[in-house]
Amino acid sequence: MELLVALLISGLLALVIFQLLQGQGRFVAIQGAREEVQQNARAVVELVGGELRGVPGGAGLVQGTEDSLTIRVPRVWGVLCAVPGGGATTLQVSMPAGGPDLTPTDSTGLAVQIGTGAGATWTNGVRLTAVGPKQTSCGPTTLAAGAEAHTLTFSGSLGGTAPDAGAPVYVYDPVTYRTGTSAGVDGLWIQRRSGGSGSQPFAGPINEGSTADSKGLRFAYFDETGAMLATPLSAADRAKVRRIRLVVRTLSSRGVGDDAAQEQTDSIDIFLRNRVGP
Amino acid sequence: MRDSKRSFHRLGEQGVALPLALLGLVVVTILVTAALMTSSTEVALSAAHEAGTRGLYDAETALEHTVARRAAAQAITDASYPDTVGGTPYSVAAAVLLKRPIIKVDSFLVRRTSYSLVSAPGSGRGRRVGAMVDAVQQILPFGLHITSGAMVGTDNVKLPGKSYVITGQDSSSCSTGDVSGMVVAADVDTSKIGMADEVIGGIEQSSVDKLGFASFVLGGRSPDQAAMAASIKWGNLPGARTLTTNNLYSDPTLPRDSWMNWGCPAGIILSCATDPDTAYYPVVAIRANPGSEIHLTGSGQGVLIVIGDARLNSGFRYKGVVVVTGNLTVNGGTSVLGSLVALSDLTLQDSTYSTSGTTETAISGSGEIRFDRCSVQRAQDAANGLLLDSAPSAFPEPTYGWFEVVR
Repeated sequence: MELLVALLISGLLALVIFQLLQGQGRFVAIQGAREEVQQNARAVVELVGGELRGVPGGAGLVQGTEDSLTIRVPRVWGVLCAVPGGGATTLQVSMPAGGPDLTPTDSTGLAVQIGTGAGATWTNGVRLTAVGPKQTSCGPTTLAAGAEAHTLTFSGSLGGTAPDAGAPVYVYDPVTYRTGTSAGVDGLWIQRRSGGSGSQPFAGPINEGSTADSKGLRFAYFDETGAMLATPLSAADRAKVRRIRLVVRTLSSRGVGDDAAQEQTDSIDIFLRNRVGP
Repeated sequence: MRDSKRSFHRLGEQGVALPLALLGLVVVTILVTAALMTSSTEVALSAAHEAGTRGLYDAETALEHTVARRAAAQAITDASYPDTVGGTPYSVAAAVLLKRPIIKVDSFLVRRTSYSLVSAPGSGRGRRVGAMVDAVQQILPFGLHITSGAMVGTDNVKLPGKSYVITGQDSSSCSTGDVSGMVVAADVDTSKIGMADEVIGGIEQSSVDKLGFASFVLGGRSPDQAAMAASIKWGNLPGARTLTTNNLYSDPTLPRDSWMNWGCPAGIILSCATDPDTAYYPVVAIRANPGSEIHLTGSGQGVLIVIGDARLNSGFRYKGVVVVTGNLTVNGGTSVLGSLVALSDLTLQDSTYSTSGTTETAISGSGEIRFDRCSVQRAQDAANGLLLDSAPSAFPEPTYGWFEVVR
């Protein structure tokens, strides 16, 4: 009799333990999936947000729609220290020493600010074709230890008035964020295209979304008054953008059991740091 | 025998309850551990995200805080400025990207300097941001009104022997056209100037009298005010070194930061052709101890201001402007390429004598004071550069060119 009771209790315990383990396994799987989508969403918000934060003024925002945008991502900032030949094809730029590699790709460009303060404007973006070696002086000026000069050769016309020494300059690569599918990668992903390379899967999968509000990648654009601008942005509106809202809905790579994939929505409002003021 | 067997099976120690309980405990422990691990991973992820986000804004705060503090202090230079944000130490490194050319705006000289700033946590780990900012400095210019080899504000000028003043008619000395050898204050009695015919180019009388002559020549500043702008000061002047001797020997072979390196005057000292100090034009001010005469030997360039009496010893070579408020004696064998401004008695010694300290020695050759417009201009530019260097910095515009340093 005692043995029968023990067996019964053992059976019950085994059943409970099995249920607990199964529940725990499911819980861990769900939590893992949640971590995955959360991390994906955070990564998108962080990385895209970081690049948006540094968008330059002028034509720094190249195009903006509800689910894609193209921006100029500066590689380096500097100041013009000499304008050989009136700046028709080359400029000498002083920049912080020990900066990033400046080897240009097919779409690397540069732009120069004309004027200062509220009246400042930017030249056309022109294609950077060559970067000279590091120099410790620029024209007649010997640079301080923390700076180095490079001769930047470009093709195309800066337009407008020739820039003066001291004008801010940035070297950039155009970067596009959009959604799309890629061979060998399941589902819809956020893609990033930098320079002349093709679109690369960047983060995902994301919600394909049947309605505008449920799409996996959404952008909204605001001017200095906080008013939302209509998309796709017109050329005039692109210059007005001071804040961009990024909403991302990421999915886990697969569901748990019979459940659908986990979904995470994350959003961030990014003030464009280089567009301070009106 | 039966009793001893029973002692191994005491009441309550038969059956499987204990193993079952232990098994249950193990299972519960596993479940709890798994739950803890899952939740701690969540916490770690959230903490990392929070730390990353906070790091960005802390770095930004340190950068803007540093700019604000530099604006309040009205000074910025190539340096790392420490800051603390939320208990975390930060360092904001400022580097001069470009000192733009000095421009004139109304009656001011203005210089805009572009700085690159990078804010990083003191630990070296964490997010870093950078930006650029422009500092603007402005001064009322040090505008010298010097038009001849000697600008004299005294009646007592003695030109004995073969000492002479030469005009800047030598094209190699950066002068065009005829200029007077000497310009004197309006109320100087030129008839009292001995051997005036030794002054090549003649003597010209200024429209300004003796009282305002110093201020006129020094562009609206008194000699004392001009001395305040000096980068090297000796004697009783603010920030000056104590004069322990009246004999000062300027030597361009000394390190640049030496207070007795007054630049290397190329053109009158052959070895200066390859000396880096040939581009160094300091402003030197000396206030003589009461009742003393400063004896100057060696070579230099820039602007030299002596408040008190002075003697230029034989072999003294100077390119730029020498201003002496007290009695000035120029020994033979002295060379000044630029201009000599004498505001009290001026004596050009016979060429055959020189005084070094208290010992007179015979020398050969004549003293030479040659007007050099370029040397005067360089000395003036250097003086203005020094004034600008020490002028307050304003930051009229916010930071620009913001970027996050790629991790």
